[in-house]
Amino acid sequence: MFEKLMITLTDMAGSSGLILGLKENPWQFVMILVSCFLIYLAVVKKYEPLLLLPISFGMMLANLPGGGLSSHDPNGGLISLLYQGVKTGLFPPLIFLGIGAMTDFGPLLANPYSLLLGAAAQIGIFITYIGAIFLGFTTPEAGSIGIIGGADGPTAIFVATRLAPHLLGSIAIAAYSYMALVPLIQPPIMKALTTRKERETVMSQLREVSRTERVVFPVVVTIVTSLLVPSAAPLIGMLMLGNLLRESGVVERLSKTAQNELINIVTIFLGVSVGATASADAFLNPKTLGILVLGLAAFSIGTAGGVLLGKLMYLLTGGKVNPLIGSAGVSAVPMAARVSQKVGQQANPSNYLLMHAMGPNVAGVIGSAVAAGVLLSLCK
Amino acid sequence: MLDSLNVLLTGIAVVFFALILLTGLILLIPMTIKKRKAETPKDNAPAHPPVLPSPAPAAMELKAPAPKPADPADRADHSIIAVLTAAVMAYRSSCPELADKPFAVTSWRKVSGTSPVWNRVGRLVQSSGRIQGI
Repeated sequence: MFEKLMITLTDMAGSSGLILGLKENPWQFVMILVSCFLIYLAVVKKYEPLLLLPISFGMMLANLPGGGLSSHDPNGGLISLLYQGVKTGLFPPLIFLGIGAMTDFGPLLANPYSLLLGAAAQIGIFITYIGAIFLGFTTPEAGSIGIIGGADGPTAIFVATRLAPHLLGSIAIAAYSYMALVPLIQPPIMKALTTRKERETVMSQLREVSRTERVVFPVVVTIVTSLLVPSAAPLIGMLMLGNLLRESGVVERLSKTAQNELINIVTIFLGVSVGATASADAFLNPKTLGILVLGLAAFSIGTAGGVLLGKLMYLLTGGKVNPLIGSAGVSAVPMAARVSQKVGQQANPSNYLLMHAMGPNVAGVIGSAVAAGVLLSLCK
Repeated sequence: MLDSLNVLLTGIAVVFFALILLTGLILLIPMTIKKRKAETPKDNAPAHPPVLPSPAPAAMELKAPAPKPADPADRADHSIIAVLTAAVMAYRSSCPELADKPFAVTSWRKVSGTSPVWNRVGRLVQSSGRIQGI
């Protein structure tokens, strides 16, 4: 009897996660530690917790030996079922629906030239693409890494799922980590590229935007961008649908659902399943280090691109545009706009740039979606 | 390497082209609306002093909107907004984490009611104090 008990206990110990992990792949325990660190960043440091928390927890679940919770589990576990929403390209556009419903494009409509700043900030995407090719990544991989420079999580996940799904976990973690670090990354670049006099520039008040403009805008943007770049249609279409739900004023229930319940549910499913793609083999390799370095470069170059075009606009308008708002063209809404406000106030405490910076900030969302469509067309 | 440069130049060109096109269309929208309003006379419009037209947005220049004539409905809206702002400030002062964080009301919009008509009537009746003991 005692012998039988010992044999049973030994068999159970042998099939425990600890022993399985040590036998199959000890690096899984390192990934568990990495995921705990990311959870710490999300909860304690509040680094983009809405997505970084489910992503890091999904990473932990996927690396529990014998748990069967990887997104690529051939037996179709829970998370692999949720991952179908990412794989089929369903979840990122749904998140864009919610983002559109939460976004006020008024500052952009009041100053349409903000769109140019949003375009300039996307230069980081394409220069990083070149850098990734130079480092030995393939064309689809380079496209997936370059889109990190768009500073848009759902867009990065959408592109990576199509072009380089094996890099999805690393790209998602890099994208959301750097988005949280925007207040640290951007200010030195902004100060290095502008003079004090430029940073002190006070911009005149934005005009009022009528309801008609707000309703017509999403329709026009959807038609124009989808005709130009059809690959961008899922993201732009859902972004503008969400915005139309908000601005029409006749479907308040739908707008509230898109802003709250829908986006929250999809965020949980997307985050957990994307995190669960970050297995030890996929994450702990030199490519991840390259992705982290290139992601930082993408953010930095995008910031510089927006600020430099802002300087050009400052010169062309005779000092009416503060170049700092150009840095908000990276579409980390509203963090990048707040950074422009903060750096502007450091130079001139009575300067309020937030609403002016929101124009390029939301323009960057459109710009990054268009850039994503271009990459999907050219990098397959 | 040439292919990569091709992607870089094509990508930047397409993004800029798309957003420049959108910039032009967005500039056209308010002009079209103003033109349509100017073409459509309003017979029952109340007599007001002529409103100065807002200047067209010249290159990167933004001007404050022309002052609108006084309207009793606007005054009522502003009073409501002032009351709501005061209520929000009173609430925030009772929350320690919000008390020292300044805020500003930058825009407001009336929303249509989505509740059934008897709900609205019930609220009106209650607020006017006609139902005793409630």
